[in-house]
Amino acid sequence: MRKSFPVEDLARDERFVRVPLMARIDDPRSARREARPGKGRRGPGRLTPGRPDAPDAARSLMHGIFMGEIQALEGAGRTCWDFEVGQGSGEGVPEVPFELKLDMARQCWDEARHCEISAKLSEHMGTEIGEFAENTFLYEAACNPDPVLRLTGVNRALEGLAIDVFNTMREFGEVAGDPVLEFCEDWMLADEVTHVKMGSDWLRRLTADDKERQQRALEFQRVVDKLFSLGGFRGDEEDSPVRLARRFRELAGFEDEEMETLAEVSREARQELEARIEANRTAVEG
Amino acid sequence: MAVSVRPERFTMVHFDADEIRDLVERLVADVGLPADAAVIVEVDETTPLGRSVLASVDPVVLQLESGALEDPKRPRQLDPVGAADVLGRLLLAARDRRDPAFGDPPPDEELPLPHSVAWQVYCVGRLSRLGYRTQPARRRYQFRNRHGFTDAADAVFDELWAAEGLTWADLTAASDRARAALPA
Amino acid sequence: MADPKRPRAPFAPWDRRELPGSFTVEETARRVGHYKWIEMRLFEALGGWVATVPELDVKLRLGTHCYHHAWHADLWHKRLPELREMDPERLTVPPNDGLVAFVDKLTEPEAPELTIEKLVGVYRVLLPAKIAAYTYHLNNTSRITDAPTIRSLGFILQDEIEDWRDGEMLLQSLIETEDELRRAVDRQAELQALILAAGGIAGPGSIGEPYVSEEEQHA
Repeated sequence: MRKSFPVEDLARDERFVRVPLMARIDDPRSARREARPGKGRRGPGRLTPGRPDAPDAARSLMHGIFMGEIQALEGAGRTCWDFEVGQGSGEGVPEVPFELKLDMARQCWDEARHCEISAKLSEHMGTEIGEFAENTFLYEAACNPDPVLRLTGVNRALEGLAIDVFNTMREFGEVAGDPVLEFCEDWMLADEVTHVKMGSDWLRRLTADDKERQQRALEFQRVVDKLFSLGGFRGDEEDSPVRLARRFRELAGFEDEEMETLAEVSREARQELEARIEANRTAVEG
Repeated sequence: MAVSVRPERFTMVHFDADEIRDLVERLVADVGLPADAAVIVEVDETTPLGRSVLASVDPVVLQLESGALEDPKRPRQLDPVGAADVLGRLLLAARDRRDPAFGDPPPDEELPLPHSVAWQVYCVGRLSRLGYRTQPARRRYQFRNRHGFTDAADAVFDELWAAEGLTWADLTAASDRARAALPA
Repeated sequence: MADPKRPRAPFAPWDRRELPGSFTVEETARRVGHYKWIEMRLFEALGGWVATVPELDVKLRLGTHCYHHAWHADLWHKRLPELREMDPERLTVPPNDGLVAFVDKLTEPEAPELTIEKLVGVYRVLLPAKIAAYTYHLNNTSRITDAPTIRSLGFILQDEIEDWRDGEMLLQSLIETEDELRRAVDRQAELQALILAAGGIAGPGSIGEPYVSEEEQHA
């Protein structure tokens, strides 16, 4: 078995179909959507039960969560295998402390459990496995050959997004009166706080004597956070479909400054997407 | 029967107007609309969103955003099975509105969400018995979101799903009965 | 009223534990180091395989089992300093090159169509070997002096047996044709030969010596 497993080889049964993120961003319909005068609706808006399509939107988001959990499980599993146990960070196969691998194995268990919860929730919501397309950008963030960057990307950025999404779903379940959804999301939310703390702790420990490496990791986190903001899908604005879950991020060890930075990169992501859509619109109309 | 699809040629999505027309003609016959009913299907291909509306009952005008007919796993491709679910539901609602015995429901934009969803369940249940693939579990979840996660709501869902020949008064009474079981 | 000063024996009448055990502190540490080594190799492999298997139920089970064996490795890691081994890495080694060869062959399959080969290696060869070695150790070490190892073995064996059952049931559900059966049998034979050559997860003597010697016979 190779010591690095590329995203295109991720094993799936026939129900799953992969769609690249760029296919959605470059969809010509997105350009037109923004250009229509008088039709102010930008997008779906916040996930609240008051939306006529809320149940279907929740189903689609839940399926996305399920796919994300599978990729998180796969990513944590690969971290168990891809690195040797040791204290070095030099040439050859990168090394990580034994305790880091134990934490990744624990995360494997947690993510497997989340897959099970998500599968049961999908059943509860009337969603078939593989009903929606899969996007693999989550696993792609877990492929970094530097273990510090990998943990930063996965355990701080990816799991941080999970905190935001699960909190949104939990609140939706609470307001909609869905006891199953609220219950399940709350349990998964508790686990994700643990995973983020793992990332924070290991980032600090592994870069305590290497400030340059720490800086690279934080910069990588910023890049991944922007990517995971999905053009404003996750943000601090009132109309962001997924809101930053500040309280739970604080529990997970995020500082106020970090959350302000995250809100800023989310705004940047939204602005960049809007600029891209405008450029596409111009190209289409030209 | 005159079914027309607009636009006749799609440029932003890979839909085939003829394929949509054939599907609608089959549905019109199956749901029991008159053979001479004029049906217009307007697809807004400029947006990927999925809204679908019965804009008129005579002629029957169905207005859909392209996402409503799109394969969720293959962007910009038509999903014939999913499209039949959406179009069939709208055509059954059109048939109900055209039937004097059904009653006089308010316009769609004035319908309370629970009543709208109850009607959808009644339509899709009939569609499933006509042999079209529907998603009963998905519809049950939608119904529960508007009527509560209770045994009473599930019982009403089962009634509506299996029903034929309901009136608007029957539908709203069933919906209200389900909601009455919601905790205070 | 009972007299609190009346003497009682240190072992209650129903506590029949005896002092002798088959292993010295050093021998126990040696075995525990080997146990830790194989648990590490196993949990790493299970974690790595998660992304490579397409079957959803297998994928999830591997994730759960990965943690079980990582936890076992951690139990052994913590036991080593208690056995006077202040550098656990020194003893976290395979018993011989034979077991290294076994693990290399065990972890070789990667392609998505090789789920049977992956599972056979773990659930029909390695886990039975571990269960055997752990049971031998449990029954042969001193129940009084080596109580911490016995406690860990109890927890670990519970996992091993349940995981073995999970894996065996998955395999039985995957093997549907004669060709698949042949693949499973061939794979098991290939790996069984390697672990036989290694002598088990702790090397020769992993499950003790079952045959009596001439001296014992005529003692």
